[in-house]
Amino acid sequence: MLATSVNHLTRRFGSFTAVNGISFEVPEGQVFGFLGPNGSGKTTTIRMLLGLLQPSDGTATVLGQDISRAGNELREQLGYMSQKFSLYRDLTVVENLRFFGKGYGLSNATLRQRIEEVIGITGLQGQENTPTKNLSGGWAQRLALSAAILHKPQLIFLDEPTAGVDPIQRRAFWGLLYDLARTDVTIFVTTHYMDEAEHCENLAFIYFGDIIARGAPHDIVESTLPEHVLAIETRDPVQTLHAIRNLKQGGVLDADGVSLFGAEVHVNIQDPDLAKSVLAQNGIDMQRTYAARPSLEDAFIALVDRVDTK
Amino acid sequence: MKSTINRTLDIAWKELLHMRKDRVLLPFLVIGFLLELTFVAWATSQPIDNLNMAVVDLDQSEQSAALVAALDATDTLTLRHEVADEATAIEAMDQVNTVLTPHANTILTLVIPAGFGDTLTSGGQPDVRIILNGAESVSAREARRVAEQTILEQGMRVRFNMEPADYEDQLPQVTVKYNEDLERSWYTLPGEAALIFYMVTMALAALAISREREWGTYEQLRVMPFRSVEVILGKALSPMLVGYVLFLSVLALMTLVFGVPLRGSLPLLLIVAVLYLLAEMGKGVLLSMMARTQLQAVLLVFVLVMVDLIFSGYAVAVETLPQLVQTIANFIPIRHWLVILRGVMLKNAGLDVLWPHIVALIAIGAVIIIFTAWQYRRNAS
Repeated sequence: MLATSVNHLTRRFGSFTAVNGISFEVPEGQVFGFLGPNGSGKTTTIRMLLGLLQPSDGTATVLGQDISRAGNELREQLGYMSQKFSLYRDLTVVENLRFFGKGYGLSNATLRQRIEEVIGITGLQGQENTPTKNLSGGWAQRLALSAAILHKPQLIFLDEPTAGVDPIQRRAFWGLLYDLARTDVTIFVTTHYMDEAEHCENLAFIYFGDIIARGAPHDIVESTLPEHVLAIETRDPVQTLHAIRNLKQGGVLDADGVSLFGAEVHVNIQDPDLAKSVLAQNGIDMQRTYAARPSLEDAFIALVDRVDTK
Repeated sequence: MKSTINRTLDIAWKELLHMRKDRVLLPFLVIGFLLELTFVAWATSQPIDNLNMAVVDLDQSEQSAALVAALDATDTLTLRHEVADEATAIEAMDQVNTVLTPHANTILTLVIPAGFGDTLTSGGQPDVRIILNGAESVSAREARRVAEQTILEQGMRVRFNMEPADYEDQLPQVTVKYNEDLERSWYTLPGEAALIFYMVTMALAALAISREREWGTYEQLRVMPFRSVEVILGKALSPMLVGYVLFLSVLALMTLVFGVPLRGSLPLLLIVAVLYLLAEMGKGVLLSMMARTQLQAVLLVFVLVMVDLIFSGYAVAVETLPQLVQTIANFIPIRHWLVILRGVMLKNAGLDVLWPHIVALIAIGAVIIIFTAWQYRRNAS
């Protein structure tokens, strides 16, 4: 079954189209990454899926229910952690959790047990009576996650949950997400950190309202950039770049792209070994070379380039 | 139904927690307004006394001296200046520096013409003149009333040799009902109490949702499976509780300390107070939903208070207002509440008389709450 299915969903604000007829599917029980730069329509999409915003066009189902007709029965099955910290800063950790639990209809006994469980899961022991405003960024995010999973939702929306959190806390937070995903919960997470995106089972990449790629991270890289990257360390990168470009234009080297990457020159190519020998024959200065698969980041930058040059 | 009540209470409890953690807001509102009531009670329970009087006595006769003495002997007027001519008297009236010269602000100037004593004793009509300081209209009106009466009595005494006892039975018989001594505080205090009740609850309610907006918690609240009515009522309950406790304190202060009578049914008043609160709460929460920040919400409350006060009968009886304003006033909850509060307290009015106002309160409250709930739901999409 699909946790979410989005069909030509559109949202316009006046003459501005924030989300432009997007379609994608989120399989149940997966960590689904919804990627895109700031202002590309991620939050608008989530707000529509949560029923906070009416779509201008298109349809979507969440846990099998049409979002335009969904009510509180659906809401009880969803968890949401918004981009901005959205717990009550003046209340303590436990006061916050108690309010959320009761709001989702947990009985007192269940609530007590669940609070203990989620505090255990997120490692907030000892902070139960700390006012939320005194928690640091990473701990506040854990508390927000605790509140979002307290009622055992089937599907959790996390909107940039790790923005502004240090790398160690980020790693720990993602550890929590994988643990959750193992319990059949579907996790719909937005991010613009590529390392996080690589850990998702499925991705959709949204760029200024349009979805420009979707699939498993590996497949997206494979289909976008089938070539290898030959990285060349050289004494004069600019001069080497021009020399290789000339070879490419002269038909000597069959490369897809040549670009400067820091102090290295990167050549996108089918067969790195062949390319290396061709370059050596043509007197290109190569201090050191290595061949690599392009990263997800390379793929997205290539995708964005293609859209922008269109 | 049971779960609706529970969930409403869950939200109300959370709101109470917020209120408890805010160490400034609640004490500020409660102490501030109780102090205000005390000052208003104190000020309005004092009669208007010791108004400054200046005299231009151009006659300097036995009779003129007697008239001045009679006026000075009243509680209302006190002789402060005896000046040589009218121009000097007016100059003194222009004087407004009451900090350095507290007696300078003359309310009434009496001008006694030359030949006053002779005219009077020969049975004629002397031209005594009074110049009033209209800038102080309330004091001036009181000074005029007392001066006219005193001058009349003095004339009776000198010209016809009559004492008040001789002519009193010719005057109309006056009976004052409900407020026998025409205590001003009996009129102003219930109005003040209603205003305090209104302002505090409104201000607290207006913060309820704008605060969540400002904190960024509003979206989270809206994705939770609460029904709109649960949120609205839950948000309204804690300000209502505070408002109600404040109302009880103010009522006790008025009746026990400042002696305003409570002649009607206390239970009736206590029940109608809840109905009134519901209507005002609905308004407060609606404002709160319109505002983006707490500051905006409070400013909106200010504007609404100004408008409501015009129609309320707080300072001026609604019956003296233009017809259009009177019609609009029927849609303003505080107008009905003031009629009920004053009626029950002073006139022992009961359900049989007050029911149209109570029905109006219920109707207005229901419309406001339904509209607010609808707005909340509409906001969600």
